[in-house]
Amino acid sequence: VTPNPLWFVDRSSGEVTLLLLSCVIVLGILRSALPTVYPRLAEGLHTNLALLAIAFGVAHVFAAVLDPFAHLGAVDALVPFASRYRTAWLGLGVVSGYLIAIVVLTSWPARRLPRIAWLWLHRTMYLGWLVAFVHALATGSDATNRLFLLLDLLAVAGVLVVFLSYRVAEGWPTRPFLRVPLAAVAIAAVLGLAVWAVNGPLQPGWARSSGTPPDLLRTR
Amino acid sequence: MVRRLTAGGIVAAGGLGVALFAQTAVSSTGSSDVQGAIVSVIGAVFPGAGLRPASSAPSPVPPGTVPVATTHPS
Repeated sequence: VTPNPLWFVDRSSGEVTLLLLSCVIVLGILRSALPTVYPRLAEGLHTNLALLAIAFGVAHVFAAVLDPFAHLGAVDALVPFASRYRTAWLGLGVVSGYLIAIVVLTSWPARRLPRIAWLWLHRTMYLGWLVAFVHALATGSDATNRLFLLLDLLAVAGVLVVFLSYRVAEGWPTRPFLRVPLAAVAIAAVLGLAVWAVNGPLQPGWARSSGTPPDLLRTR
Repeated sequence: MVRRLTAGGIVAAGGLGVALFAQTAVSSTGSSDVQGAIVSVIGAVFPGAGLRPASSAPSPVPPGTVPVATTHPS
């Protein structure tokens, strides 16, 4: 079976979405931690790159639905864990989409929520990003591709370094009891992701064990 | 400044998307197939260019052509 170009669009746009989300998180942390350093520039870029990530994310979903290979439909793209193709891992992609949608919709067009509510809703972006990463590694066909792997490593390392350097260090002198568990959770999440990836998606035979329907296993 | 950097971000993201598209295509189908696909697209857009994928099958012979047996010169 000759792969449809939409399949390549699906994979490439998904990876670009993930990298853009990583940049958005980094800019958001820097904007929050360094409010006096180019505030308009940081906020403007944070917002615009988020919109660009949404555009690539939409392209990713449309390409996945239109690509005839996995027989995905609108229900698979909108209802988590409804797909026959890698049910759990594709479902996580839908979940991450909704988490990111919550962050976007509560920030646009204006912050009408109380600040503390908006802040905690905005922080679900970390969870959305992590779930999107798990989805990309487990559902994508490029987990073992060196270029994709390198970009993924750079994105995770970048977010972790900026998170630890600014988000955790930001309130260190005043609230160490809150910051130590925060740093531990962040490091544990990244280490957990790495250990799981090495023992899961990076292992041979992942396509079968991840839930690819048997009739699709031999075609690609 | 925000506009310039945003435009740079759009160009970089688009360029990366194209590069990853090519990478996934090459890793999935092989570079000759991708070259063939590109040449086919160019050939479809500019039919007068006379481009044809190197790996494409030979054109069918006209009806009624008599096959000729050949031997290798060596």
